[in-house]
Amino acid sequence: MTTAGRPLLAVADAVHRYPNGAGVGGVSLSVRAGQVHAIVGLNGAGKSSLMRLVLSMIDLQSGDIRVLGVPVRDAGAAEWARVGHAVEGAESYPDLTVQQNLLLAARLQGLERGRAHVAVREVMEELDIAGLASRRARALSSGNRQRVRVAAALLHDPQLVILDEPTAFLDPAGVLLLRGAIRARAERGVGFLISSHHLDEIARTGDTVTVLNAGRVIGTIDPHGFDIERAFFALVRADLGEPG
Amino acid sequence: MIAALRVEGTKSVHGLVSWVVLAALVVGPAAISATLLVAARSGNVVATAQLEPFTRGEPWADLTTLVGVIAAAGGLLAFGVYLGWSFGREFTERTVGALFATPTPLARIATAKLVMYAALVALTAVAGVVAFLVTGLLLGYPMTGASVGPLAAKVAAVIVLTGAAAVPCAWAATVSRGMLGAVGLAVILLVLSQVALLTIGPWFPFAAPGAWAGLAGTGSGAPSTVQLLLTLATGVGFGALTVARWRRLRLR
Repeated sequence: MTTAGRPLLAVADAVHRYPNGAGVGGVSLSVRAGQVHAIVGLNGAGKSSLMRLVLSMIDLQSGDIRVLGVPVRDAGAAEWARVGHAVEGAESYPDLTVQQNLLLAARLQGLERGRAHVAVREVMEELDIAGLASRRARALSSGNRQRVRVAAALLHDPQLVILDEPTAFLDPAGVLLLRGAIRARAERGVGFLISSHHLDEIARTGDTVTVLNAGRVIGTIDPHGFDIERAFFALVRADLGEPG
Repeated sequence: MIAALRVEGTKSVHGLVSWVVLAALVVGPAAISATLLVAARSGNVVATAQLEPFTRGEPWADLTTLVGVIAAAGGLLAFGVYLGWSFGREFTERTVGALFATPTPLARIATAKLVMYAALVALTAVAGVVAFLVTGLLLGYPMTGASVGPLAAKVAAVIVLTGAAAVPCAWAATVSRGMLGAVGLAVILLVLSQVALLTIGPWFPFAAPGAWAGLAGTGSGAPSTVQLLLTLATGVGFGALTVARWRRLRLR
């Protein structure tokens, strides 16, 4: 179990630059138990690259990332079993049903058969997709596919959850459900790293909002501030050297 | 490993590609062989000419040669398609991301994919033998266990060796991050095998199963045990290379 006070995720000067200059260029941030840390930025700001670094999908060129206290390159089954993620490139298998997809995710997360079935049933009910259990993923709407991806990230009761644009394609009911799922887990001590373009949603869900631009952290925003959109663009324009 | 096997087993069983490949390799060689043999028996000149290099007038042996040759050529393509689908789909269907950062390492997933592939090859071999026997009986060939048994075993062995020869397609699908690399490699290997049969012969490991089943099998140029084992070793080697590639897999 994670000790109190130690971050579930600690990113220090993380760098991964692609040949075209995109990527992450020295980002530092952390996620503590019970914290919902949102990262916002324009397209290409480095949000998805940062998440890929955290999940060992791409390698660090320099800097340090610790997942549950362990350097990401050394993270093994014990650490990843306590991490959930729904990021770009983690789609469902189109020829399998919703339930089959979630059972596969549960088995990959190390849940034994009986527990996997229970976990899948519970998360489907929580995200209101139980009625779609026997429907093939290819037949789902974008919003329901998104619910399935998020369900796969949450079903094994992880301590740290990485979600890339989790509210994309969701209808208002789906956004409410997801917000409830995130806040309920955060109150139990689960830490979240979430990227989003929806600033109003971030304001309702996030505890900490970090703004990225061109692969760098350019500031933070108070999620409970008066005009989060104005604050976001003020930071971005200042970073780009544009008049406010 | 059990979790990875269950996951990959579910994908294989529910994948249409698995069943199409199995059906094509079981029904195809037997149906084509039977059609040619019946046509030749009926005096069809074209069929007789096509069968001439492959037949010696011994019913079960001729059927073995035909089924083996067709299964070896078609198997390289069909097994290549399966491997391209199994490994390449993770990239083209954008599902590979979900395989990262779980307690099930990527190398274990790749190994499970290869185990499922081995199961498909074994199932194809068994079903292929059944199709071979049924075809012979339908053609009215006399069933004498002593002679038919080894021929049935040879049909199974040709299919298994062809399965081994196709394993590089798994590596190609991984390197190219899609199905096309695997299918392209299968076509290239098939072409090179035809060239090899006229040059270095069964020392080219991808040509050995077809050489054993076909022309060389009826003549003096039959592959040696070492040459057939080289085909198996090639499959095992490329299987290991594929697993190693998945172990250090990173997204772009």
